[in-house]
Amino acid sequence: MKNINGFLPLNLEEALLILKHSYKNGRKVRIVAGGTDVMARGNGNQSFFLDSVLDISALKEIQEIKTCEDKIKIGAGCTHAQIAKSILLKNHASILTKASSVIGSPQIRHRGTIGGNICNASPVGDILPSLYVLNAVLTLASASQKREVPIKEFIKGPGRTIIQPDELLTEITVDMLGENEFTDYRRSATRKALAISKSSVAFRGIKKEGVLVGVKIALGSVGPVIISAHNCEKLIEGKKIDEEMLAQIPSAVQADCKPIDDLRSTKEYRSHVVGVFLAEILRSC
Amino acid sequence: MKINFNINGIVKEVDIPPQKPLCDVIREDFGLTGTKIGCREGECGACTVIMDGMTVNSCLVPAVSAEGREIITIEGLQQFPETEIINDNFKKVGAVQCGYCIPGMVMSSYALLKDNKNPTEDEIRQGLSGNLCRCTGYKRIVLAVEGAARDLNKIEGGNEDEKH
Ligand SMILES: Cc1cc2nc3c(=O)[nH]c(=O)nc-3n(C[C@H](O)[C@H](O)[C@H](O)COP(=O)(O)OP(=O)(O)OC[C@H]3O[C@@H](n4cnc5c(N)ncnc54)[C@H](O)[C@@H]3O)c2cc1C
Ligand code: FES
Ligand code: FES
Repeated sequence: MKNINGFLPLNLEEALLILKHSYKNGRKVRIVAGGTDVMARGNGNQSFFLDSVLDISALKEIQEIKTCEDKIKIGAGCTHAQIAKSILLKNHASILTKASSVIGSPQIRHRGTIGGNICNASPVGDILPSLYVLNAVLTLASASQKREVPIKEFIKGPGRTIIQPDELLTEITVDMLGENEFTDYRRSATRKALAISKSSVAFRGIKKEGVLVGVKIALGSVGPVIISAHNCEKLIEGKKIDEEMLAQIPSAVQADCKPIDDLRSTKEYRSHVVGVFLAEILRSC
Repeated sequence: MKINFNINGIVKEVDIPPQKPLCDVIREDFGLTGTKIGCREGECGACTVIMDGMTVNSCLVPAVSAEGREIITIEGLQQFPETEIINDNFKKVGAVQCGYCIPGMVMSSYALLKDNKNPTEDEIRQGLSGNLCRCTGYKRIVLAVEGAARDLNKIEGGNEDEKH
């Protein structure tokens, strides 16, 4: 059996140096944050762990949530439980606390991180639609440089991102919601807990004189990546919310998303539910 | 890789692969077999332990992540008086059938009641939502946790509700 190295760096600098040296020496590294995805895939499949395992769960520098001018910075190592409980996020980006609190189970939320959810780049990732509507910008750090990339450019396909082998995702910067901004996240799944979403909707808009402006909508599980629903946004932006407008939602949803049939659900169900969620959200705001 | 574990207060260095799941370390290297293994993918909760005060699926914790952390298994939980009360209530209402899920259920019940002295039925179901049971239908497990909450409040000298 091949010998797999293990690293447990105690600070970010050390972690980035390990990545740099491994890369230089041609050794492939499996980064582990909460391990909820890595271990579920790697149990019984030793080769999944490559040449070494780099555990980043002891890096305190990437486990903080703080404000910075009109933005909120969330460390990539923050767990879903930490995000779900954060008063700062509850007050200024409540859509994230809502999305985090539906993930998996208490045990999964205690370990799973926001950074892991992003790097998984799964179209079903529950944190992702909210990050799209909050204009999330990701900080990627290597030993020699730092760069910032909008989430939309970071995720290239299911499970595919632009991260380089010597880089770590360290921070996620999101908009702080204004006083009159309204957000919501809804998902459908077979059960309330321990179930992967069949489709999901993240919604953001500002209520102004009876209409919604600045509307941003992102859809999960209805395409290979998270979809920015521009047709739905255009339909709702600045218009009166009445039965006539609500009736047009299904065709706008059809134009926006490309759902597939799979073992969890069907194309028809997925886009139908997205339409129902959008109508519910509009009626409730 | 040499890793230092602290399981139920016993500190031991073990030389194992960094990706070895904590549940196997607990069972094989520490000989503690109260922690059960059902799915090895985070779905069933049979392997639940408490790490640094929080419940985790030990099948999803690689050994390297456990270095320097305080781990409590179902065996270690028996030292706390609350556990006896939880156990008694599980027995009293007949919440145990085959028993395979029960160590995990007790771990999650303990963690829930530490955080929330008067959980509603809904809160109990949420608190235990990471633990599957094939036998009981959950009803009696929920009753057991409700009973344990009542008994614990009696011992601590007063129900939170009555204090308000
Ligand atoms: C039982 C179960 C239920 C689940 N339920 C849900 C659910 O309801 N909704 C949902 O969205 N997800 C769910 N998941 C998936 C998973 O828990 C989440 O995606 C979680 O956020 C992953 O985070 P992690 O820290 O555990 O990632 P890890 O498993 O540690 O890592 C995931 C991937 O990201 C990489 N990575 C992690 N952090 C970084 C970083 N900072 N920089 C660079 N690369 C990094 C790793 O190398 C790996 O490729 C579930 C998983 C399980 C096992
Ligand atoms: S064995 Fe760990 S959750 Fe099932
Ligand atoms: S008692 Fe048999 S699985 Fe719960």
